[in-house]
Amino acid sequence: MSAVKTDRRRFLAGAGLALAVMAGGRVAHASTSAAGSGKLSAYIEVQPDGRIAITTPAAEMGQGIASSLPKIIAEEMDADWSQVTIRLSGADKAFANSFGRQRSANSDGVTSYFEPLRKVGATARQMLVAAAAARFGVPVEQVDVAKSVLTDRASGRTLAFADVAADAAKLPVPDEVKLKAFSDFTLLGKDTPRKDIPPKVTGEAVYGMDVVLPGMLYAAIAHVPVAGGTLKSLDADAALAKPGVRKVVALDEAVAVVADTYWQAQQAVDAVTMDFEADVRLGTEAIRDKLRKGLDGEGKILPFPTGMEGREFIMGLSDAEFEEAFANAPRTMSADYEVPYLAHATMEPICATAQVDASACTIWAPMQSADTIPPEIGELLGLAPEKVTLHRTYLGGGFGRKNERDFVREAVLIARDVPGVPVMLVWSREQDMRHDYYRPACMVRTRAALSDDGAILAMHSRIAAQPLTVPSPYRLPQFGDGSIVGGLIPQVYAMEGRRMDTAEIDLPIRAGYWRSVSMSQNGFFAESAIDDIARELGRDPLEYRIALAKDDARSVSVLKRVGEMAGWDTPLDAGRGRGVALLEGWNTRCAQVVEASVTDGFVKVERVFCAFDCGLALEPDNVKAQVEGGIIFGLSAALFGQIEFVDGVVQESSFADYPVVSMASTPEITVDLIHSDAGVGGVGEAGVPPVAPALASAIFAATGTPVRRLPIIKSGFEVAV
Amino acid sequence: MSVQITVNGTDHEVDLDPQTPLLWAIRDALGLKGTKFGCGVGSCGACTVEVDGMALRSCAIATGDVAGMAITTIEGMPQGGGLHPIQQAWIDEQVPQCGYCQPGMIMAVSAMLKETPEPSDAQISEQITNVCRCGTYPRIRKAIHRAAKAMSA
Repeated sequence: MSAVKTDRRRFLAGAGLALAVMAGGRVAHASTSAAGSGKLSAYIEVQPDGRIAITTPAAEMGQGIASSLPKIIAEEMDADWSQVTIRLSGADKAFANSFGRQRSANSDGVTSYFEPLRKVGATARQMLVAAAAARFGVPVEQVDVAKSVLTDRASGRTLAFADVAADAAKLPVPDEVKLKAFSDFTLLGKDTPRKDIPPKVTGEAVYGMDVVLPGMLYAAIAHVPVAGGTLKSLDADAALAKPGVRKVVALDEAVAVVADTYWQAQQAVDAVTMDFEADVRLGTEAIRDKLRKGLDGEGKILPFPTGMEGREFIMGLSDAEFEEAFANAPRTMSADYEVPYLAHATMEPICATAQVDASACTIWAPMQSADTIPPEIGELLGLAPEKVTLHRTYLGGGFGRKNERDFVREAVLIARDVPGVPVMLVWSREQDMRHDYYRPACMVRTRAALSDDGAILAMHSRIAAQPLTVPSPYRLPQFGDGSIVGGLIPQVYAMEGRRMDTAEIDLPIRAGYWRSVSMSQNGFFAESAIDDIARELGRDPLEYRIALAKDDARSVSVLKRVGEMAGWDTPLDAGRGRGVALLEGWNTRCAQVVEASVTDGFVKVERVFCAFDCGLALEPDNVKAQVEGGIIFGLSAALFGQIEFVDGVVQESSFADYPVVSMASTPEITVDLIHSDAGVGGVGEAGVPPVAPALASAIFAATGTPVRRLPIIKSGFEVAV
Repeated sequence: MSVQITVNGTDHEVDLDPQTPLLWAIRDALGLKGTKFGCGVGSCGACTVEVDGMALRSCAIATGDVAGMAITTIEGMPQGGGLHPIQQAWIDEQVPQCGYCQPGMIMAVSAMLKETPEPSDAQISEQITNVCRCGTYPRIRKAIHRAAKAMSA
C-alpha cells in the first residue's frame, strides 16, 4: 500500500508542475507525459525531493546562460535558488525566444528571453500560490512566497513547492500574471555562483566531444583543401587497409573515414588521396586587390540605410550631396582601413554525433543553433522535421562557428551510411582552422567633412567585403548586408549627414558570423575614423568623443567613467600611450581605454580599463567575466589574428601559427559596471569591438604612427604571444 | 597489441597500437572524457595530464612511451571525497566560461605547484602556456594564487 502511495506521489510530483511558452508568448501546461518521461519540453519541473529542474532554452557556450536564464524563472517564481538544478535544451518549439527563434547568437540570450521567462516564473508562482491557498482554505492574497516556501500569513502554516506542485499542475494556466518590479528582485542583479562551473572543474561536463553511446563509431574527415573546391575522385585503398576502418564516405567537398576509434579514423583519412576541382584559387594579395578595387567603385555598390523613421528607411545623403559637403568643408579627413579573415578557433574542435535510419535521425552536438536543424536535416534526409531530434551538449566555445550547420549535415550523411549506428564526426584542429566560416577580410574608406569647431558635417564610409548573408529571406536585396555594414557609422555620435554603402565582393570563401559580427570590424573602422578626425581637429580623443556623444547620456557616462579609471589626464612616460574607444550596441554601452608601451617597434598591452553599461546586469560578476573575455578575444585578433590564403589554401593550421593571447600576453584588465535603467542589454559580444581601435589609438599616442590595418603585426609592429 | 598504463592509481591493460597518442588511450580506451582534445599537436594544452608529476600534453606523446608511469587526469584530482584545492579555487574565482580548456589548465597548474608552491606572476606567465579562447586568464591567475595559499596553509 505504501509502495503504491510512494509511486503515485512520485508520478504526480515528477509530472509535477510543468510549464512551457507557446508561440506568441502564451504560457501553457507542458505535456505531462513528456515531463514524466524525462523529455525536456517544459521549462520547470518541481520534483518530489524539493529540487526544481529548470531548462535553459539557450546554448551554453561559456556565457553562463545555463545559470542566468533559469535564474530569471527562479526570481519570478520565488524559488530557492540553492534547490534549482539546470538542464540543457535540445531543439524544441517550447523554447522559442520572444521573436520565435531558438538559437544562441547576437548576444540576445538574456534580452530575447527576459520577458518570456519572467512570465513562466510568475505563472508558476501564481499557480503554486493558488494550490496552496486552496490547501490552507484561505484567499490567495493571504499566501506569501519566499525561497520555495508558501506561507499562510494568518496562521503561519507553511507548504513547500513540492507539496502542492501536483495540485498546481491541475489548475488552469492564468492568462495574466503580475511581474515583479526590478527593485523587488532578490536574485537578479546579485552574484550567485554559476551552476555550470562545478562540473566544468571536475571534468564531468559533457561537451559535444564527450558523448558516449552504445556501439558508437567515430569518423574523421578531410575537406578539399582549396576554398570552394569540390571532390572529383579519391583513392581510399590504403585507408581501407588500416586497422579498425569500417567505411569510407565521399561527400561533395570532403571524404570521411568511419572507424572503431577516432584515432584510427584520423590515421586512415590521412592516407586517402583526393582529386578535386576548384575554379578559383586566390591568394591573400589577390583578395586584397579585389577589396581595394571595390573601394574604388568597381563591382556591385549597394547603399545601406542610416536609420529608420517609423517604417521608412532613411538613406542619408546622396553621393552628390556628400561630395558637395566634402568639397566645401573647411577641413576634411580621408583614410582607408583594413582587417583580415579571422577563424573562430573554438577550443573544442568541430564535432557532431548522429544516428540515422530510414525513419528517424538523432543528433547530439555542441550547437548554438537549434530551431533550424530539424527542418534542414529533415530535408537533407527526406524525413519530416519531427523525425529529427537534436540533443545539445555544452559547447567548448562557439563565437558564431557553432551556429553553422555544415558539420551536422556531414555527420548525418556519414551516419546514414552505417544505418542505426551512432557515429561521432570529429574534425582535426587543422580541418577546423582551414574550413571555418571566417570573419571576412574587409577594407573601408571613410571621408568626413568637418567644420573648424569640430562638427562632423558629413561622413561617407564604404566597406568592401564578401557578404555573410544571402538576400531573401535574410536581407533586403536593394541594400548591402547588415551583417557586414551595420554600425559602420555609429548612431551615437552627432553628425549632420551620413552615407554608408558596401562594395560587395564575390569570393569562394566561406564567411560567417564571428563574435560581435559586423562590429568585429566596424568597431575598429568607425572608432579609428573618429580618432583620425580628432587628430585632424587637434582634439583629445576622449574629450572629442564625449562632445560628439552628448545626446546619449549612457555613452557619455561610460566614457567619463573609463577616463577616470584610466587616469586619462595623468601623463605617461615616453613610449607609452593611451587610446580610447566606445561601443554602442545590443542595448549596451562599452567604453575602453588601452594603455600600451612601444619599445623599438615592439608593442606591449599594459592595461585595459572598461566601463560597461548593460542596464541591469543579472549576474554582475559573470558580466565582468564576459567583458574580460571579450577584451582578450578582441585583443587576439588585434595583435596577431589573421587567416591567409595561398592558391586558395588556408595557411594556418593550429594555435602554433594562429596565435591567440596567452597568460603571458594578457594585460591587467579592470572592468567597472555602471547600472542604468535601460532594461537589460546584451553582454557576450559588446566587450569585443572597442579594444582594437583603443589599442591602435594608444600606439599612435605612443609613437605618432597611425595603425589602420589589423592585425598590428601587419602595420609594422611586433608583439609577443 | 596492448599497453600497460597506470591512470589515477589504477593499472589498465589497453588494447591499442602503442603509437596511439596517450590522449586517445585515456579518452576512448578508458572512457575518461575529462581530458580534452584541442589541437592534436601539443599547441594548446587542453589535453594536459600529469605523468610522474610533470605536466605533459597527452595528444603529443605515444601511449607506449608512458607505460608504467603514474598518470593523473582531472578525474584523479579530488582528494578524500572532496574537490582538490585547485578545483575549489577555480570555483571560488568563477574561472570557467565554456570550460573546455580548464581540466588541462588545472592539471598544468597542479604540476607547476608541485615544483613552485608559491609562484610569482612572472612564473605563472612563463609556466602556464595553455590556451583559453574565452579569455579566463585573469581569473586563472587569481585562482592559482588562491590555490597556492590554500595548499601551503
